[in-house]
Amino acid sequence: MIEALLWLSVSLGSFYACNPTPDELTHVVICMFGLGLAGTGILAFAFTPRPQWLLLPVASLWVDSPLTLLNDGLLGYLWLAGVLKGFHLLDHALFATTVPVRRFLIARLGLRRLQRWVACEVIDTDAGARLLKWDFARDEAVVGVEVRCPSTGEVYVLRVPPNVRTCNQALAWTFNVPHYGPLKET
Amino acid sequence: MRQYRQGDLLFVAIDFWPEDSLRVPTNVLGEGEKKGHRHVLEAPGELFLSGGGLVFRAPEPAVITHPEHATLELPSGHYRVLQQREYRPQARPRYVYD
Repeated sequence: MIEALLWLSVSLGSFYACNPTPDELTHVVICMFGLGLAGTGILAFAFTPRPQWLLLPVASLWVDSPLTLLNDGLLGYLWLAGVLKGFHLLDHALFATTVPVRRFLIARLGLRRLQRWVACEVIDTDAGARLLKWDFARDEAVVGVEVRCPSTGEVYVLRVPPNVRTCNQALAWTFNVPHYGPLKET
Repeated sequence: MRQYRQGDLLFVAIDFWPEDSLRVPTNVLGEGEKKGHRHVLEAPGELFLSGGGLVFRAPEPAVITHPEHATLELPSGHYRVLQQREYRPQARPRYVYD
């Protein structure tokens, strides 16, 4: 109930922000809901068992918030929720969840972020490329090839099948060729 | 099998010109997904569709440009264009674009 009232107040606040010249009636309505918002907030913090969750919509507006960095609402909330609750919910979600949920999270995260947060094993190195492997319980291993673009310098990680063992095999698979060996690369 | 690469595209030299090729009235080899940058085959060269992919013939050394990647010069010949892809469990591979 409290969350619903909060949501309604925030929605009307957004409406107010989008209307630079509201008439008097709108002013009255906005003031009422402004007071409602403040009251609801106080009540929520006083009586909700986990009041920190109510900060999530506010925290999501912070420019450098994890939500912005991740560019994904669900994962941002998961991360922030983890921080606020005192443990890393994302780690929990990756290691102690069902296989479909984990696959969904990994697909949404991308291997570059996974590499930042979860330790991996380097199984091959070749000409600047690295083959990385993550083992998860009850599912096939996640294997990705990390390469650096020679023109832009950008590093990216592409997922390859789990049976791939060398960087060359991995890069050949990404282009669907039997052997990878470009004479020129830009 | 001579290969040349520019970003997410690999150009593989082919010995035989595919008979099912269909001329495409463009010189764009690949579209960018995030920033809209394109891999462009500068003249001389003609682009064709064949077997679900792109092939092109360059009667003279061809030049391929892209706003982010260095210009790639290819010797004259016939080439197949291969897009880079990524593995997905229990699904078709996903093609990746610059």
